Amino acid sequence: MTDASFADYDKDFATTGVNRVPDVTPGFWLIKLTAVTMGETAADFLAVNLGLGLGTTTVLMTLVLIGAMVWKFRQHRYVPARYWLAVVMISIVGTLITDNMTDALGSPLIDSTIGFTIALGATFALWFASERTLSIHKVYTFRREAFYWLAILFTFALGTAVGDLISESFGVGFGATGILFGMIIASLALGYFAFGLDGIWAFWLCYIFTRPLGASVGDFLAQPTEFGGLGLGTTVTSIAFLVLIAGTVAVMSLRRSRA
Amino acid sequence: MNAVLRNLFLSSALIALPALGFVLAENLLLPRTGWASDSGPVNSDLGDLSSYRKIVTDTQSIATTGDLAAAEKRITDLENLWDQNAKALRKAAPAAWSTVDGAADDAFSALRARSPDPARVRDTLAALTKSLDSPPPAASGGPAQQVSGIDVTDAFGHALPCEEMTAKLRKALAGEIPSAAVGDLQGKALERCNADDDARSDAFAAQALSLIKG
Repeated sequence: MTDASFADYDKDFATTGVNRVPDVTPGFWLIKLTAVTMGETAADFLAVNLGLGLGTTTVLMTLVLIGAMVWKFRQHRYVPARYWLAVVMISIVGTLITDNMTDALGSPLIDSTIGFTIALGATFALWFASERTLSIHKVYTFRREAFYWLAILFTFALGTAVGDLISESFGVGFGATGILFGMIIASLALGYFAFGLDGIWAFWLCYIFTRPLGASVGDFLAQPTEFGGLGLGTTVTSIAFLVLIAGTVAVMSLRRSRA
Repeated sequence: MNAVLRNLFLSSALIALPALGFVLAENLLLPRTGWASDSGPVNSDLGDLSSYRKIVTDTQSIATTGDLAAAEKRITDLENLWDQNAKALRKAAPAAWSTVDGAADDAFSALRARSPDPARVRDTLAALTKSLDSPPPAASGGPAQQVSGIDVTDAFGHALPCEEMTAKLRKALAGEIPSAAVGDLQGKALERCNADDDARSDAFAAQALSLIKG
C-alpha cells in the first residue's frame, strides 16, 4: 500500500530503521480475520461457557494483554509470533471492552460507536501531530509503535460496537450482517485499487470492518443450528482458529528465518 | 488538506453505497422476512395445536371441580408433549413458541405452588388457552409484542435492546440469588445477548421477569 499524501512530511524525521510491524499482504488479512473470529468466540467462551463472568474475564484478559504487549515491545522489530499474539489479545480485550460498556455500564451502542470514533480520530490526530506521518511502513520508534497499537485497540472496540449496532438496529442476524460488512470491505478495496483511495485510509477502514465480518463468521460457525449457525460451539471454533493462526504464524516465521 | 477531504468523501461514498444497497434490498426485495432471516418464514405459526388445546381444556374442567392435584397431573401431559416437540416448534416460530412456553410455565408454577391459588390457576390457564388460540406472529413488522405479558419490542415491532432487558432482569433480582428456573432463563438470555440475538434473548428475559413477578 502507498501513502503518497503523507510521504512528503517524512523527510525531516526518522527515515531509516527497521519496521516493527508487518507488511500488509493477503496473509496479513487472513490472520487478522481469523484473529478477530477467535477473539469473538474466545470472549464468549470465557465469559459464558466457563462462567467467569464479564468482569473477571476482562481483568484476566487485560493482564494477559499487558504481558503480550511487553513481550512484543521488547523486540524492536517484527516477530510474527509476538506481533500476532498481541493482535489476538487486543481482539479479545477490545470485544470485552465493548461488551462491558453495553452490558455492565448500560451505555447505548450508538454512544459507544460515536465515542470510539472520536477516540480513534484523536489517536490519529496526535500520531500525525507528533510524527508528521501515519505510515504503517515506517514504524521505527517506540512512540510510533505505541500510536499504532493504540489505534488498533480502538479499531477493534469501534468495529465491535458498529457490528453490534448494525445487527441490533437491523435485527437481521449474523448471516446478513456478514454479507453487509463483506460488501463494504470489497467496496473499499475497489476504491483503493481503482479510484485512488489513499492506502492509509483503506488500511484502517478495512481494519475496522474486518472486526464485525470476523465476528459474523465466528457466530455462524459457533451458534447452534437451531439459531442458524453450524453448531460447532465456541470451544471447537476457538481452538480450531487458534490452531489455524498458530500454523500460519509458524509458516511465516520459518519463511522469515530462511529469507 | 485537499487530499484529506478527497479521501474522506471517497471513503464515505464507498461505505455508504453498499450499505444503501443493503437497506434497499432488505426493505424492497424481502419486505417481511428481513428481520428474522436466520429463522425462516416469519408469520408462520406453530401449526396444529389442538392436542395441546385439549389437554388445557381438560385441566380447566378438572380445576373447576377443585381437585387441583388431578389438574396438575393432567397438565403434566402437556408439559411432556410440549417439551418433546419443543425444538421443532421453536424452530418453526421462535417468538410464538416463547409466548406459549411462557404462558405454560406460568400455569405449571400456579398448579405446583405449595398451596395452589384457585384464582391464579384459573387465570393462568385462561391465558394459556388464549396464547394457544392465537400465537403472535413470530417476528416483527407488526405492532408491539409481548412475551409472558412483558413488552419485548418497541411500538413498531423491533426487538428491544437485549442489554436493556437483561439489565432490567438484573435489577429485578436486586442481588438476590435467583431460583433455578429464573437462573436458567437468565443464563439463556445472556448467552443469546452475547450472540447479538436480541429477539430470543428478550423472550428469555421476559419469561424470567414474569416468573419473578408471578
